[in-house]
Formats: sequence, C-alpha cells, structure tokens
Amino acid sequence: MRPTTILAVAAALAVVLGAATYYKLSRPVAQTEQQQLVGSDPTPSAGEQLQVKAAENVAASRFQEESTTTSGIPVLAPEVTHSNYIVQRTAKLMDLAMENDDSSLQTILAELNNRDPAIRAAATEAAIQFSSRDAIPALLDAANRTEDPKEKQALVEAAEFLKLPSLTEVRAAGGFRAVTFKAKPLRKMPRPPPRAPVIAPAPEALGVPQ
Amino acid sequence: MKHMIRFAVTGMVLAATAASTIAQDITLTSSAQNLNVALTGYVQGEGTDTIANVQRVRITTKDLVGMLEGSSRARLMLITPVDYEGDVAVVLREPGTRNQPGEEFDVTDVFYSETYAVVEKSRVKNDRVTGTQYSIDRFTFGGDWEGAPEAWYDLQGYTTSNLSNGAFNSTVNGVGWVGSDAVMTGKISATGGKLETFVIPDPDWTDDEDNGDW
Repeated sequence: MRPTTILAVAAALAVVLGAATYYKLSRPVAQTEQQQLVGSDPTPSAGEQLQVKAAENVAASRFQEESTTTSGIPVLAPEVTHSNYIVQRTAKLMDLAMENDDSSLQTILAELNNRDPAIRAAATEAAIQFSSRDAIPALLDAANRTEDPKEKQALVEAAEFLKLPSLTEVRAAGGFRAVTFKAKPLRKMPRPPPRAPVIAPAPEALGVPQ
Repeated sequence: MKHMIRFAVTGMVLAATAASTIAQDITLTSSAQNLNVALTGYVQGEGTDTIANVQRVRITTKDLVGMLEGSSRARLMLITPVDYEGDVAVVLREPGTRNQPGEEFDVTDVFYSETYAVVEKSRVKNDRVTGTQYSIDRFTFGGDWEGAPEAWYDLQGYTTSNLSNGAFNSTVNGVGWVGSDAVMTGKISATGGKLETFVIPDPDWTDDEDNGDW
C-alpha cells in the first residue's frame, strides 16, 4: 500500500474519531441525566424532592458563580453573594469541627466574635461538633458579651452540653453501671388504706392446732 | 517518505487515544453535605430506695463515627445525586491528602429517615427555588441486627429546611439505647452543600444501560 494511501486513511480515521470525541465530551450530561431523573419517578417523596431541588440549586449557584468570574463582571446581587458566603463559611466550620487539632478549634472559637450572627451560630454548632471541653470558656465568654437573649441561651446550652460525658467516654469507661435502683413511684402518691387480706391465712399462722 | 509514515503512525495513535476517550470519562455530579448530630441522652442512674438519679450523656457525630469504626477525623456526609438517578446516601469519609481523596464507606443502611408531613413556603425564579420547608421527620440510627452499632436511636423531629441550599435543622426527641435505655433530645442537621464530581470508569457504560442502580 502506498504511503499516501496510509496517510489518507489514518487522517480520515483521526478526523472521524476526533469529531465523535468532541461530540461526546461536549454533550451536556448534567441536563440529560437531570431530565431523566425528573421524568423517571412520577411520585418522589417530599424528602427526595427537597434533596433534589436543593442539589439543583447548589448546581445552579455554582454555575452562576462561574459565569460571574469568567465574565469578570459582578452580576450577583449582594444578598446572594452574602448568603453564599454564609453557606461556604458554615461548611468550612463544620469541616474544621471534624478535626482534632487545636488550631482548628481556635479558628472555630475565633468565629464566635464574627459580626455576622449566622456565622456566630455556625461557630457555636461547630464547637459542639468539635466535642472538646476546651471550648467551654470561650463559649461562656461569648455568652457574657452578647446582648441577644436567644444567642446567649444557645451559647450557655452549648457549654453545658460539652460538660457532659460523651458516649465515647462512657463506652471507654465500660458503659453505664448496672442500674440497681428498684422501681419506685417518682411522684409521692397517697398511701392506700390498709385492707384485709383476700386470702385467708394458713391455720398454722393463726396458732390453730392441726 | 519517512515523514509521511511518521505522520500516519501519529494519526493512528491519536485515533486510538480518541477511541479510548469515548469509552470512558463519564463525569457525574452530586451534592455533599456534612451530617451533624448533637443529642443528649438521659439514662436511669444509680439510686437508693428513696432517691432516683439520672445520668446524662452527650452524643455527637464523632461518637457515631467512632461506633462505625471510622478514624477520629472521618466525617459523615449526606450525598445527594444532582445529574444522575439514585438515592440519597450516607457515607463515612476518611480524610484524604492534597492529591489523594480519602476512602469512603457507604453506611446508608445504618441510617434511616422518613418524612411524615411537610409544608413549604417557596418561590421559583430563574429556575432557582428559594424558601423554607417545614416537616415532621423520623431519624433512626442503628438497630438490633447482628453487627449493628453498639447504640441506637429512634427520633422524631420538627425540621426546617432551606430550599435554596438543602441545609436542614431538626429539633428531635425520642428513645434510644446507649448501653442502657435512654430518653433522647437534641438536634440533627445537614450543612454545606458542596458539589462533587466523580468519574465512571466503566467502558461499557451507556445511557441505554442506565437502570438507576448505583
């Protein structure tokens, strides 16, 4: 076979497969699959609907962010940007809450002083999830500083929660000790009046000779 | 002539590479949220004939992770499909490195939830849903089957969910077992909502063969 023929065949093959590859890769997989998802189950449960809607929203949110950054023109409303920031910061704090190192805890506790109440609430939740008693002084300190009664209560409750032994600690200590407490009424009930025995006592008990 | 042959060989290599690319690299997207649990368990404690005591214990996500034999830095994630068909899954995700994602273990069977009633206040604008959903839900962990975790709970809660990002917060009450019978109260929530993509490497995967089993 002539080299020119080989060249022509190889080039044609490369062009055809290249075009197919381009078509396959540029296919909007997300939209196609999403349409299948919506159409496949006519009666999804409320929880599934919520999860799917939320996931779609997250996807739309990211698309919006990407289109903003690529165009270079900020088109998002300030409140959208701020709510995205809260979501991202909350996620970051919860990520830190799963760590065990002191620097992660300090980052979480520093956010108890954030100007944004939503971030402070997220930091409180993260401190709970971090599950260290080292967070108690900072939580109580923040409770003393805030003037919002609901926030103060949440911070104090978080501190009280962390004072409790964790389930892991209880398990490591061998679990709860066997409960020996005999069932007693927790409320004081009036003592019932004495009454005669229903079953007649045995003759021996009464001293009657057999 | 040499150049022609080299060009032809290069073309064939390119074609082979393109063919292999067609057979794989299907990228799917899911939303990953942190699943957070913070419960207080009230257990009947030791006492006397005239005094009854209660012992309290806190149960957080890290305790559940420990019972599922995860490492101290593992986390519980709620994985929701975005562009593919499938159920919401709960995974135990070990921390990875900068270049290597951590291992994941599907623990969906250990968790169960159902919604009893739901109402919502929402608005759809530009294909985005915003609003709040209010629901009564049941959340369970563990059970009495062989190999189940050493503790369980069965809780019911009032849940508020943010429709725009999927975050939810449920105030729950119920019963459980933590080595003793326990009365439980607390919060279960999901936060975050990061998009994650993963690749299906199966070369035989096609749209027609997608039966929804994942």
